[in-house]
Amino acid sequence: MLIDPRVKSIIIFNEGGGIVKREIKLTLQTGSNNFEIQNIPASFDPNSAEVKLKYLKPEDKTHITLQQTITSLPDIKNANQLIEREKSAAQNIISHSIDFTREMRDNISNICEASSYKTYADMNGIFEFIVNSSRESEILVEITYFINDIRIKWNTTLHVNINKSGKTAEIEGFLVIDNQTGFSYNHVDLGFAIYKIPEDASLNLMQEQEQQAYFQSSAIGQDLQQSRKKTQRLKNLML
Amino acid sequence: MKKKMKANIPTRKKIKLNWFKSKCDLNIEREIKIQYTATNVSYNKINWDVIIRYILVKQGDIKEIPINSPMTLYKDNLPFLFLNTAGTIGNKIISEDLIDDDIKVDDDVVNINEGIEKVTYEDARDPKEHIEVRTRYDNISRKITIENKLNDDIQLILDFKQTKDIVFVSSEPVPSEIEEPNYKYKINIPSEQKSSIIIELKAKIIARVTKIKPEFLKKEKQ
Repeated sequence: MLIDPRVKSIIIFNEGGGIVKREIKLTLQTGSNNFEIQNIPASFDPNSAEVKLKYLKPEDKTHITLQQTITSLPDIKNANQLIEREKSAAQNIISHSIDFTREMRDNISNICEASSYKTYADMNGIFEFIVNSSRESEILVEITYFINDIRIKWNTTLHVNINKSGKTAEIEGFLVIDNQTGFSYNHVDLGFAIYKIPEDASLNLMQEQEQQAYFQSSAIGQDLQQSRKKTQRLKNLML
Repeated sequence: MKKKMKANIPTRKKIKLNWFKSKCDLNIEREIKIQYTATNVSYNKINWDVIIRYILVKQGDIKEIPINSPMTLYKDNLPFLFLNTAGTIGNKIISEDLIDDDIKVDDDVVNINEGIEKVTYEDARDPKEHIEVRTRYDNISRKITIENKLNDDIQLILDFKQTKDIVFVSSEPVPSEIEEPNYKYKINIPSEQKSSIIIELKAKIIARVTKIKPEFLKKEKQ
């Protein structure tokens, strides 16, 4: 069964990526219940994917169990071919868009723009889980996973108004979230952390070329590409 | 209790959220770091940079601000300086170090008294050669003039660091603080005024010349 749990919260990392928490109430049939979660970005880390069952009735604990989770990422080669095809189709549409009316042109150019920015990380990953139940019931399911995508990140900007004396000032802090991914998060609880996802293989999902292109374009390049290993602890921002 | 922030984050968009607003004390630190080498100590003129950093001591909760966050300083509601943060320590928000272009530092040589040269010899790689080492101790006096081109009075610290070759002898005025090898001067300069310090130094000047040993020089001539 296809399900689309609501994104409840997202903790965004300042150097890109984050932790997504989603939640849904499910009706279970007697026996094995298979669920496939929609809108899982291919930038999710399968190793971090976690399903937690929250029992609505205490007695369900003995009747409902999580059998397993199944995760996988789309094949890079096929996904890239698909993206290339979409991009070239989008280019063709844009080159003929002069024939469209103004309203249509805006809509079409939005779709085409989304296609032209699409990368592997915007494709859908597979995240399924099987729940065994010995009776019909309802349960709350919480799904958590890391996303390893440097295109979603935050930073701060500070405005300092210096008073006439020059000794005191008024400081205003703003949080700026930059989401250049293909996924939207609506009405979510936000958390912010100072953290950089380690560049090891399990999390390094973006293709090397894509990363280089992104680093070059956003001019944050050299620091992030350094492979110096150091301790780092996730620091949650006090809001 | 931890506050919760809710927002919509649309795809391919940037959103800006208010985070905090508070009063803070503003401290401006200016510093000139001076350290000579055996080569530049006798230069006629040297220009040093004045390093400036802004330190904001925030009231209220501690906010962890990532390094390199952009910071804009406003005066009379007009932006006058764009810089980045270098870090936070507790309630202190520290800006990156910048060169203060409105403070000029000219360092001119006043006098050089060359000492008597003492010659010693060291072995060279080639057995036919040796290295002539000429060592002398020069007494050098230099005048450091700091010009404040700003409309406001400034306070700064001139930090002279002596090395094994360039040693501090005396100065006029005397240092405000001595913590060897550092000699620090706390200086106040009114707007559009200059302030000077004369430093007496002893410099160990060494010149090395590789020469053919005299006995081999004669043989070659023969």
